[in-house]
Amino acid sequence: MMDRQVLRQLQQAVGKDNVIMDREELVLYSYDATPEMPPACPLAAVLPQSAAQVAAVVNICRVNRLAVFPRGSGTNLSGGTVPLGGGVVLATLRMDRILELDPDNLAATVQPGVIIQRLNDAAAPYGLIYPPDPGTVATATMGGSVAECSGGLRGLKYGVTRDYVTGLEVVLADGSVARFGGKTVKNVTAYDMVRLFTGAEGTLGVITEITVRLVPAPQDRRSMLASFTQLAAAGEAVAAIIRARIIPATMEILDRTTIEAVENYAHAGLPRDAAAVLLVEVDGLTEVVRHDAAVVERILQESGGRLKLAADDRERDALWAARRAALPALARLRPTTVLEDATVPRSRIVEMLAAIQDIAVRHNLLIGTFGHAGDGNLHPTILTDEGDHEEMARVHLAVKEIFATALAMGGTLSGEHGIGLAKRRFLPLELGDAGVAAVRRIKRALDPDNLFNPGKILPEEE
Amino acid sequence: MYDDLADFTADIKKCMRCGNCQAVCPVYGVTRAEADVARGKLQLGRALLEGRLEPTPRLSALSQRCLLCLACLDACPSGVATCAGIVALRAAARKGGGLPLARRMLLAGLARKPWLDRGLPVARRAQKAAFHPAGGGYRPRFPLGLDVRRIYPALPARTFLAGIRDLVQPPRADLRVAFFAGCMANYVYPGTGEAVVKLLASRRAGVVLPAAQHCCGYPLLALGDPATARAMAASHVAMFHRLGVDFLVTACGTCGEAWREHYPELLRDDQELYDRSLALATKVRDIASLLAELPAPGAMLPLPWRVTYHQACHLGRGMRVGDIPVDLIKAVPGIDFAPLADPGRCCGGAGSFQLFYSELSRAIAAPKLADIRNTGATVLVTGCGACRNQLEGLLAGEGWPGRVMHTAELLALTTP
Ligand SMILES: Cc1cc2nc3c(=O)[nH]c(=O)nc-3n(C[C@H](O)[C@H](O)[C@H](O)COP(=O)(O)OP(=O)(O)OC[C@H]3O[C@@H](n4cnc5c(N)ncnc54)[C@H](O)[C@@H]3O)c2cc1C
Ligand code: SF4
Ligand code: SF4
Repeated sequence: MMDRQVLRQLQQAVGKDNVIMDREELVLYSYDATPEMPPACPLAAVLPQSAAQVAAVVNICRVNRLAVFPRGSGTNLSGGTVPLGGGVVLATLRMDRILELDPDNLAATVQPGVIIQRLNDAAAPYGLIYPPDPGTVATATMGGSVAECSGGLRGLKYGVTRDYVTGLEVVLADGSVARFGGKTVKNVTAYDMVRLFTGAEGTLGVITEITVRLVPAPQDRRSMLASFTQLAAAGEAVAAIIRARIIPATMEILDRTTIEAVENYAHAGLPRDAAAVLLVEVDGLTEVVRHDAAVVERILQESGGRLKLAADDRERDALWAARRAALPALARLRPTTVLEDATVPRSRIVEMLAAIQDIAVRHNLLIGTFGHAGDGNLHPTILTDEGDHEEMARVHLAVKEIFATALAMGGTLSGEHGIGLAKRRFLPLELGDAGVAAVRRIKRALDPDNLFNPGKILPEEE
Repeated sequence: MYDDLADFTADIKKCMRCGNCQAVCPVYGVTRAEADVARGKLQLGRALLEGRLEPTPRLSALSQRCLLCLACLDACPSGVATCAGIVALRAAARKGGGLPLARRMLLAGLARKPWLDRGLPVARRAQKAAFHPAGGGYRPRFPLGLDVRRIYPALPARTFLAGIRDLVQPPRADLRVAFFAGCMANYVYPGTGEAVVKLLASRRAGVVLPAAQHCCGYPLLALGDPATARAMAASHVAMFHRLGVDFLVTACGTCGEAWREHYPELLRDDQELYDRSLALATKVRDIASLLAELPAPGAMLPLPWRVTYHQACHLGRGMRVGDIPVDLIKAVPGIDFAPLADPGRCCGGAGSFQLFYSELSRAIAAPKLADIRNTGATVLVTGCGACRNQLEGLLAGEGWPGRVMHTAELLALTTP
């Protein structure tokens, strides 16, 4: 139970209607989209409406030694919003205004609670897009996606969230409000603080305003799907496309298990005997699209792929339906879905896929893998049952092996889902002791009381 | 089913908390409170099952804040039976008390047909006393817990079923159709019932109207009273099973869904009733779907109107009538059809939801009202009396000059 006086202060700071304190409702701020997280109930959840209110909440919490857990839509996959050890969940959902759309500067400024899709809808009339498109583009907040540095399907050509964030307003641990960066393309004033807070997973401060770069919407696009009977052939096709110096907007791969699940679920017309399917989309000026599409088609065929093209938007939707069905199709197979995001250099993607399949066989697990072949980011999706402890033990072993394999190939623990709680114990594997210590020093310097999102990213000290 | 939350353990566990339902939930869209979206509701259910929560009045109140609009069901990648789970959560949460008096009275009233039948004249007199006549209906004179900014429909002098014979037999009948009128057509919009009978008779269908039929029971199920809903399902299945009809027609998606989906689920434990409910379920058609299956009776009278169409949740995502009603409307000579940008978005009415959460309901309806106005249509058609009630009231309250009518009423006007 929370101290009555502290509650009253919080209510004064953000308004009574924006403080949640009933036990029944607090249960709902204990989780995000990550499976197997410890049940941790906050003492209160607040939904402030301005940076000043955020600062007030931060001050109240610091004085009363309560942790602050920033939260957007709670769709992250690394336990980033789990309020470990209690404290106050600070949800940005009611700070959801688009503050400015500035087409001349190709920039937009938003509050953190704006849903990514809404920014795109607002930019569309100006012929502009905000390219980062995680699978949760219709639900995730700008704040959450900046704090996770989300990726998405278009990473190869368009990069990830950090490539678009140019300015931030942040409430720091002492309750002060700082601004870093702005609308300008160039800015080398002091350290690159914008990048530090982008991907910090809410451990260094609360983001209260975000300025991003927008880019012109591509004039045209074309999609093609190719199925391969050999995994290696799909890998060869990816490499050949890059060697031809074509940078598709997306290059998605589905493995055999995923193809089968998609066919059973959506009857998308994928060949069941295929070992892999590649879905490639090129975009840009119409002439360029025509040229690039022709080259990609030729390469896909020469690599042994069976082609399916999309002549119009309807056919394009049909091709993409198969890709969109991947997660739903897999998720229905078993009660629990563990969605990983092992990432390797692009050239090792097939090797990684094969390694995951081998891990699945050795641990007798059902793993479907799909992902962004263009940027080396794979989503091994383990279908399992949280209630089956023996099986979960095997899942944990498999996850560990997937990480070790990715790192051995020069990859990373997480391409886009973040470290949070779920992967913090693996951090030393990638960063080593020196790296972990450096991260810890940054955290201590900016948040000496360990006020923001304690227990995330960094493994607990002995 | 529905009586024991434990029956939904598998569904609740299947929710991977991805949050996809947030994108489509009209309640969450307004409040941005996790308790208001399917993910939150299912996690409340999970906490209850795991003993982290007990049934309390607060839990019950949270469980009620849902339109049962089925949007999350369509959006859920894991295929979770979201709405059925929420209904079961309501039943479980109610055990800790906390259903407000007004809702308990509604439950009691709906369960007893004679109360409703006798209540109608009383309600009519009360309406005259407590409401100003306004916009073709009534506006509350004082709040009464109702929304004073909207218009409530004038109640009819007598129910639809009281005004019609048990069997309407055209001179040459090729088939027999039972009509399940439902509460809205019986008590509030008898014109809808009359239109359905006229349309069927014009297609050479004999229409059977059992006078003892009452509420389909879904409102009770939805408020968390599966036991009474089951009794109502049993009485209806017994009543309609005997009729030996070719089709069972409804003019409300919720009634149709009750017959198709919920009656069999509710009656699962009684083999005979269960089998009969399944047999009847295959005969259920929304009036628009049946009209599309039957040969048209000849030339239609033209209607020189600009018309738009709102898709009721339980017709569209529930009974899956698809484009059938729209195609029927478009086929009427003279009609200039102007589609809504988002026809399937819930109107926020959701049965009694608009009564008990009028502010929230109005906020949910706002984009729908703007969508309707933007079409420039002067006639709004919908296949559900509850949606009609909600939209008619709110649009008239805003001074919108157009008319709202049921699909059957529009089509009946084209039938000589
Ligand atoms: C089905 C599914 C598909 C997904 N696909 C992708 C994908 O393709 N690519 C990808 O990158 N991710 C993906 N994700 C992960 C997830 O959607 C993203 O991480 C998302 O950006 C999180 O946004 P959110 O608003 O839900 O943030 P939350 O989950 O609420 O928070 C995420 C983190 O950000 C912090 N945070 C939130 N708001 C603030 C703030 N204002 N200031 C400081 N810190 C803050 C939180 O403390 C937390 O650590 C997927 C998730 C699911 C469930
Ligand atoms: S049924 Fe409708 S209102 Fe209820 S949770 Fe689902 S989307 Fe929201
Ligand atoms: S969309 Fe389905 S699985 Fe995802 S959170 Fe909602 S109910 Fe759960």
